[in-house]
Amino acid sequence: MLKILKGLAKTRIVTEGPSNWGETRGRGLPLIDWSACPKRCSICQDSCPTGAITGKTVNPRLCIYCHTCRQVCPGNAIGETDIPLIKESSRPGEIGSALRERIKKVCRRSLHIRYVDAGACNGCDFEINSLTNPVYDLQQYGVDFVASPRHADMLLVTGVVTRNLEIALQKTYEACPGPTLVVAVGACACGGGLFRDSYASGGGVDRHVKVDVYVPGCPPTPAQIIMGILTAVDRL
Amino acid sequence: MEKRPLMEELKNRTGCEVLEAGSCPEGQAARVKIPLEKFLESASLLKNRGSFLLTMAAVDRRPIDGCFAIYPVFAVPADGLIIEIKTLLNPDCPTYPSLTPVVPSAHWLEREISDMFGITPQGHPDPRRLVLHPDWPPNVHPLRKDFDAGTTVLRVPGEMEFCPVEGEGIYRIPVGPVHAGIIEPGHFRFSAFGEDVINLQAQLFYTHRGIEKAAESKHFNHVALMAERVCGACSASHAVSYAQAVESLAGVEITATARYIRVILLEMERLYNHVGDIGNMCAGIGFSYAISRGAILKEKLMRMNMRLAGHRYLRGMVIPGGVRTGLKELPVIMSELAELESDLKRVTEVMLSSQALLDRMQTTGVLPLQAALDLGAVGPAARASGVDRDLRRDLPYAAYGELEFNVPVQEQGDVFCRLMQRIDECRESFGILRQAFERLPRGELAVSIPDLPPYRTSVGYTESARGANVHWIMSGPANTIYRYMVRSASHCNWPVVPLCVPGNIVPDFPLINKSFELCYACLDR
Ligand code: SF4
Ligand code: SF4
Repeated sequence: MLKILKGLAKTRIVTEGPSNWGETRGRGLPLIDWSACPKRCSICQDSCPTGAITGKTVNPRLCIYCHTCRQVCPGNAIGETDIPLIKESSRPGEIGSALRERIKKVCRRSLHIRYVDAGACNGCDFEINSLTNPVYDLQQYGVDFVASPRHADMLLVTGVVTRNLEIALQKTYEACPGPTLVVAVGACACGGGLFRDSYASGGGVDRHVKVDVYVPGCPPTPAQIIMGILTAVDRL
Repeated sequence: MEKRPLMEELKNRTGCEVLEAGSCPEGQAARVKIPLEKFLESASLLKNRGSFLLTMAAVDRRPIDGCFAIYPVFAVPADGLIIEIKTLLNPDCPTYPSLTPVVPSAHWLEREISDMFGITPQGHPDPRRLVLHPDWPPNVHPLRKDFDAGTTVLRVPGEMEFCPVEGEGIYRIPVGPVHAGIIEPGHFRFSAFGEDVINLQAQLFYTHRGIEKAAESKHFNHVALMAERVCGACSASHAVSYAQAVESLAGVEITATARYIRVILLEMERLYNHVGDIGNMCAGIGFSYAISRGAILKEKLMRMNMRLAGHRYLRGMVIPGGVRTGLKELPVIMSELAELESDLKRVTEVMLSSQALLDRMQTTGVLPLQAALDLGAVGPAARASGVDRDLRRDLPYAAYGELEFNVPVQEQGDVFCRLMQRIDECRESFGILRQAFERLPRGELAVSIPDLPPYRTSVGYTESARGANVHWIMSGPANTIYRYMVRSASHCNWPVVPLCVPGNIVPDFPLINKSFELCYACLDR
């Protein structure tokens, strides 16, 4: 026991606010620079494994961030956005307090989330799990994961929605008291990713239930998922 | 034992035809064609020589030569040899004598083959369906070539088939597929008497996404992206397994730089999984100090991944032929890792001094050694029961042959041993990383892959944080993949979990389940 207390005192606080998230950089969404693009070629479009590029724009809901397009581009015309996309959307420090405020006002103090895996690869699920770790500590904003859909205000859905989970997703959705917010997390949930349209899987969550917010990424970072939750609450 | 005699004996006893005997980047590989009558005999011969089953694939070769075929792949660690058997089957009524009575670890593989191809293993002790749920119509075999990948499969009424467990006072607890926590979907059926579990059965394959079918007729580079997305937490391991399969099929050798970078990626992956699991196992007993410490350390490791490779799950690094980019910020990460090592040591010391932890974990969920061997358990779960097997040492790949490390093993096979196993393996991983960081040579990152010869097979494997991930491929025309088969560590270990639960109380199940830390996504594919 003594050791535990000593350890705790030494570590102090690890929980972070959103201002720190900007530091962790990763592969971003491809951004095609029109001026450098050799116009007539369509190599990026042809080599994209998910068909995310049409008419030289990238559909973030389909993109799996593999950067194949950036490598094949003969004109080096494809850059990338920052991950997380927070800096562009608002000043980072304000996101946490905005989320807390909105939840206090709109949801009467707390927001309850039920998570549903509808055929994910585990990546998105691990990132949702990270939201509850002491570093991101989603509870600091009044957000909680609940065990039953009966208590849920929001569904966080990952995965392509496989044939074997269609019914489970539908039943979970129906068990929620309305209005239910639905947030699709990850490329698979947003548009089917690499595995859409096969005998075993559909093409994303919106073919089955109404989706309020899409969080792109494969998997999206925890910061992006928190942004998604905030955006969804804003829609209420 | 030497290499020659084994192959010679195989030839004499079974009259097999050696299709190919040569070396692959990971050691010696041989492919033999065995007539159907001699199939079982050759398998038992291999088994008696201390081999174990790596994977077993079936292929619908009807468009090529009018047959179905099965390809069990055995590893013979004593000889450093991988032997792939090829046996052709009759296309009209494809059956063969089941391998399971001889090699029990084939039991799920054969049920899967029966579902996906309609090939019947005769004499299989448990011919129930495995992959396809009861609401799939009969006679739908998705991996046959005449089944179109985009087919919409009708739903038919059907009940899950569970073996009945009956008696006075026995009640059943159904759980899932959607669980209370943030975990993947699966349906469990406990039969309990009071608090004691008498029997546990599971219906899995909820997240079956049809990856193997989706990979067919795609370019091998496209499939590499799929391989990475078989499982989130083993992304690097799956990617390397697949890349090695492609490389050995193409006959290319990757550069030393790429081999070392792969080792670093694989060990970082092992570390974040193990560290996370060490903490997470304590969630099974409500030991919140350890849970949050584990989570903090895991988050630190994930961020290191992000800086090293640009991705928290190390995706987008491994490609067939090598690695895509070099690693960044190496010296900083190295010193941070050393710090993390001592942090982890402190946390585990505190954990192990807790009497409550020992009480709950010791003698809980025992996996006996013989069961682990027979059913072909792999990874830390098997080593915690005393199975001294680790592909990194036994059949070295990437740069593991040049690095020094130990393979720890435990004896009792209970939850506590699986915890200790992970703690011990972390220590070795830190050692491997230190060596790899120091020796990382400069040089070319990737070599280009020449055109793949069509209709050839090859196998690639890695030892992930959960055990052996084996990828088997068969090439098609124009650099496409004709058949892709993934056997993940969880595929090997799921069948042993229900074995460890009876005799324990219901509340211990989450703890036992966490101690195996199996993945549903890479089982279901
Ligand atoms: S999926 Fe890959 S190739 Fe397609 S747009 Fe996204 S990063 Fe580019
Ligand atoms: S979006 Fe990517 S990480 Fe998420 S479930 Fe799909 S493949 Fe996995």
